[in-house]
Amino acid sequence: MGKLRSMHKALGVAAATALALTGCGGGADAGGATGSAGEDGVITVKLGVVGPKTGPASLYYEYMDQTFETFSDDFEEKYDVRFEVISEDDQASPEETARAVSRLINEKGVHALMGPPLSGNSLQVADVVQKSQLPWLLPGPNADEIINYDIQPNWAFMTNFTNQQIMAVLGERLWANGQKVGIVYSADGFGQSNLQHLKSWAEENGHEVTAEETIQPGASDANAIIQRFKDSGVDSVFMGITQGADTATVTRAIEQAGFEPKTIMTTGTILTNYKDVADPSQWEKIQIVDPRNFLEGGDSEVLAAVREATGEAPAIPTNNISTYAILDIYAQAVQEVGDATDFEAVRQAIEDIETVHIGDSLTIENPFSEDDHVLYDDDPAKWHTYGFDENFELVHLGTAAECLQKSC
Amino acid sequence: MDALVLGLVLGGLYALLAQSFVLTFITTKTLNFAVGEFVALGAFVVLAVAGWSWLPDVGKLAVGVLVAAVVGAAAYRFLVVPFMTEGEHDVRWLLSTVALSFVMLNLITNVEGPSPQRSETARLSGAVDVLGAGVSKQQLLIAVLAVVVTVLLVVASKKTSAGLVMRAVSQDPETTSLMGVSPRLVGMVTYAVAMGIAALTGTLYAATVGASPVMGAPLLVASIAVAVVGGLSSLWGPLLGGALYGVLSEVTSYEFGAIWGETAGLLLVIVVLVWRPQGLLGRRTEVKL
Amino acid sequence: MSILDQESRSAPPTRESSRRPARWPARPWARDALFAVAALAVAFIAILPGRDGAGPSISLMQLVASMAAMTVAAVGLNLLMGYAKLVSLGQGGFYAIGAYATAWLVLDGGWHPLLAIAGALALCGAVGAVVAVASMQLRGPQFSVITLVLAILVERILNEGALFGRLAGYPNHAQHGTTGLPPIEVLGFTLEPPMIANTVATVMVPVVVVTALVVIVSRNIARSPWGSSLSAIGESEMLASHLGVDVFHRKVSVFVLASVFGGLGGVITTLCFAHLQPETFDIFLTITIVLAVVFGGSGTVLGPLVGAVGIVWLEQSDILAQLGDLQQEYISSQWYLSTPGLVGVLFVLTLFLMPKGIVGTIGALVMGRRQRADVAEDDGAGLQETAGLPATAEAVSDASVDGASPAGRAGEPLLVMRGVGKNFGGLKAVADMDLTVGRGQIHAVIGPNGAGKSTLANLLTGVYKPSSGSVRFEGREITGLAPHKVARAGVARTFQTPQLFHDATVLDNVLAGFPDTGRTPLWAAALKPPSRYRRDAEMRAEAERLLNLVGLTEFTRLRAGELPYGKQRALEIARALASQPELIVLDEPAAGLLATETAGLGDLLLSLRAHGYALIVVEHHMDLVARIADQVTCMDQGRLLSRGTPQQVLSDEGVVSAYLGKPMEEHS
Repeated sequence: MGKLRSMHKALGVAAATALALTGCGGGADAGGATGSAGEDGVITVKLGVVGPKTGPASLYYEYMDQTFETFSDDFEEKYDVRFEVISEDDQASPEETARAVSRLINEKGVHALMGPPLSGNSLQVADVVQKSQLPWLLPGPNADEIINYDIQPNWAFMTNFTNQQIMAVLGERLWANGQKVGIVYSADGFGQSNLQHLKSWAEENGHEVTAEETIQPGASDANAIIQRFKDSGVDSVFMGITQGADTATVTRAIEQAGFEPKTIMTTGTILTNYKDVADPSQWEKIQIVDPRNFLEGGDSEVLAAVREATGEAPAIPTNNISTYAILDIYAQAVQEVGDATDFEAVRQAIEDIETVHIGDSLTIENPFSEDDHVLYDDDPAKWHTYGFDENFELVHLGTAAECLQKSC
Repeated sequence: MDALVLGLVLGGLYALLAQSFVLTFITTKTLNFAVGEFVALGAFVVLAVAGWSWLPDVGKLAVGVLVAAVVGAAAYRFLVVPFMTEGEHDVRWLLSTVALSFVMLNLITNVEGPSPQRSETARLSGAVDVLGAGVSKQQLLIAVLAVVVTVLLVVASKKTSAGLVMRAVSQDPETTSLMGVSPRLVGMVTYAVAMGIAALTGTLYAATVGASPVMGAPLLVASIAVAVVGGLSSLWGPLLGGALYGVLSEVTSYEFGAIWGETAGLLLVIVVLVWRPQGLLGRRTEVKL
Repeated sequence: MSILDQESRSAPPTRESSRRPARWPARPWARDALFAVAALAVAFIAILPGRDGAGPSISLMQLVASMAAMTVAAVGLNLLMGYAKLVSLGQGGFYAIGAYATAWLVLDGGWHPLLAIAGALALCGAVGAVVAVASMQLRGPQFSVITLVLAILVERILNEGALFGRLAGYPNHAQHGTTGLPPIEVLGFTLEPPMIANTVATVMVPVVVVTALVVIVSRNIARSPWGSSLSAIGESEMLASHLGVDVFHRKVSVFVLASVFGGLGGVITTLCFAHLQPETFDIFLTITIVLAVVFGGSGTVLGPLVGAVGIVWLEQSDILAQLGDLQQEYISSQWYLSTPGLVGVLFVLTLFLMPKGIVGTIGALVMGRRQRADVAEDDGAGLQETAGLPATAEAVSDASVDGASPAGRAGEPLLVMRGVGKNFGGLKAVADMDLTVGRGQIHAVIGPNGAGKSTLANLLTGVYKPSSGSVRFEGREITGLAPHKVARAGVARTFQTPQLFHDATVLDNVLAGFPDTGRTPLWAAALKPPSRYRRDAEMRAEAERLLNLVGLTEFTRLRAGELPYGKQRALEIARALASQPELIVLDEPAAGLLATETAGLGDLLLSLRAHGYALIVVEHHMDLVARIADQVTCMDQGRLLSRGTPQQVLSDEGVVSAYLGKPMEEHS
């Protein structure tokens, strides 16, 4: 690892390079983070970031870190908003998350909260954050369950796709030509949420899920899963799996069993940790859908900038982009309100935001409304379908809508 | 039939790692809870020397095994021996080996990063047909190795003087130490061999799933289960336990879904322990008055 | 009268009540009250910062809540692991059951919160009982593994059970319309969790009070005869059953108790965090609880508390994170340890510097100093005022404290064994043996190795069930009774190798011998009613009398393990006497003794006979046998070879040739 910035080091580096990200323990009075414009006309915002800074899940913190490192100057220049980040380690544990969030809100007095990136930990603190009435920025989680629109005004905003959207976009594709659909999902929040929404979509549209199988994170093989798919005549597979490495276990079993489904679909999670543990023959037929265009336009600009600024690959490419989006949204809202501590006004400004910028050349208009706090929508025409070449480079196959028509 | 073959192969993986637990238990009555990290250690050491093109794969494997063996022996000497001095109820070694696991996991994560890395050493790609079932060559290699290692260990314990000493220590450490054999030395050697086996498992397993700091964790529970089912005091135990555990969990997975597979394996542990506390092949130790 | 040597034989026959300034506070009840007050005071100080619900106190209160939950679970595990030496890796499972069952009963079951908590704890206890019965035969790693399997299965159920919201957590808004459990109301009070600034976290009051009570109660239990029975089980189940402990029931009880405490930890989590995610209850939780116990000091009263507080604090502490940062700055950006690794290093350092855990090591230091002080000034610590009191009828109704009384009923045979046999597979270890021992008699059993002497002793004390024949004691049929029932009937025994609690004091070893060890009910141990104090004082007085009897008065406060071998035997005899037996079975009491010590042993046994005890002595030392025995039975190959007075038997040709055929050994 060695990439995560630490407090003292970060403070030093921040002074030199005007980087925004500091470590934990900053204290409530640090810097001039008043939330309103200082002498230079720049509003310094105290942003609480919570995520797994250490341990095996640290990639889920790293993408936020990378995005800050790359773009904080840009946002300051663009919106006169400077982020002073106060970060806490949630150690990927729900109880630790609860405490970390408490500290950020109650002790550090942050103006907004970003994270936690893992769905389960977000669910642990959902109630608290809503009651605390702080803008809650969620670039990571995909679980729709985190936002309960019965709570109004609602404080949570998500800029990743959600599992409900994936199914709405993919459902028809999976069941095209009367195919029998099987889902293999990881035994975690993301996977279970995938299953949930696939089943709801099927029910609403008069289909049924032929086979559903779960894979434990780190499972040593998936032979039985694939055999059961084969036996039940599944010819369309959806993989709702958090870790690319587990996805690789499934595709390895598919190859090994000589299983040849007509369709294998998954999500952008495959972009992380998959390639290094799989072979080209195993990813040949896999396609993913995502609302982002990784190959051209704003999304790809964000990724390229991260690569250039950090010298590393984007930790979780989809989430690097969603982090950019949420920061853009929040910075705009703060600029408009002029005071980051007027939480309700900032929240309203986010909800009413007109144009979200991603990179220089992509905009999304009016994404939010009172009962829609997720950035993307489920219009297949706006989603992209990708395949992979032998080097695991993404190949754009068309929009999801196009692929439904011409079956990519 | 497929489930049977694949279950046996899967059981081989667990059996190989279970041997690490059985070995240390036989001679020292301790289990190293950091075995999972030795699995990762082996894999990463081999990854580090993967670039030495002059060294054949077997040599690279040997480097990984050797490093883990040395670390394992040191772990026994410095982290287990001092914490098992208070008799059979002294379980402080549990704390110290778990602590070692924390340290190793953390260090490996900090140095190598959390993501799995591709390992090409001793990698066989593709599958072969075994009685109609498609079996990955790599998994088959591990299973075969589990049998080979077990046979070697059994032969060594019966035919070599080192093996005799080892068995003597396991029967009666006090008397053996009177005879001039140092149980501590025997313990160190056993830990070295056991951690070497863990590293070997790790390297071969990493060729499939990639080398990552947490790669050992998912294997740990299954391997302890296999060791306990077979009997912690029997070198043949892991093979029998592995076969039963593997076949049962795989067959259950085939019939009822993957979610039930591991559960069935765990239930097997309960049934065996309730029925035969010392494991299927284990020796019951009599309480002496 | 001592079995040991001239020096101790010249020790004063009765204990002088040399009152000296007692250590403060001297009286047991005052000490207990002080502890309780201190525990509650610490508890309230811990939640003082949260009294106004100010924002910055919220996360501190959450920290205290986590510490409280971990403490309660660790205290429960300590009873199981620290005393009974059963290392359970299942405590996290019970923690999870307690947490989820409470939430589920309140929300889905609509139960009253208190009822729901009671129900959850009852469920934990029930599951604990089932697991305990299933794992009754297991010890060591096998026990750990089966409990670990339980914890994993529980986690699996929470992960996959739709009823509990799976990984969407509990409650979740798909099922319940909220992700937060509403604060429970008890007796008109709303128990607010520490969550939102400016809302006082009222739940913290019952949480810390309960935690303090759990620590107090566990201290009572640990220091009661019930606690001694756990230590006895930990030492050896066979020993425990010979001390009159029903091992099966006691093991189930302690497992249930530990499970309930584990569940209580979960209840605290539910009340304080108001939302449950299965990720909280992973294997790491169960391991952390074990680590807390070992880290703090397994088998000590405060160890689990210190360990739990320490570990919870460490894991979230900024200090370790900063230490990691420093390494990165000054050593290497890759080769460094961050928090989890540093926690590991700290564990190891603690073990090296404090080998018995934090509390255990400090306690040993204090005890060592006290011991030296005691030896120097012959400690009397406020026990004298109770010395000499007769036993209360309720506690020892069926046994007399007055050692002389058994003699009063001499005459009728005390023990009658008829045609007793035991087969192991095809081997006849004992065949058709008769044995009759009268009150106030010493009956020696001799014979070459493998003659079946020890088997006979084991048949008598219930270790083995006879294949045939009958054993009657005081006119009661005791054939095939379990050892604890035989012990309760009035048969005590000593072992070939002394089975002592080596880390406990000499006095505590004798105290463990009293019938109370097997008979004190759990509630009395936990609540410590006034009668318990009276009984403790009586037991102490009686124990000191017995120690005096065997010549160990000056070693009362020494650790038993520090006694020389001969004195350990004497101690074991004193412990056997504590059970107020009619008959004592001594298995090779002279084995390993020096000649002078053997002579002293003879004196002691004769004086016991004079007090009216009946003795069965399995022995090889013919000099000793000739000196003390009223009757001698010689066995060979499981059968009676000869019987009569020592002179008759020792001159019997059959006996001589049996011994010549198989050369006599010092130790079998």
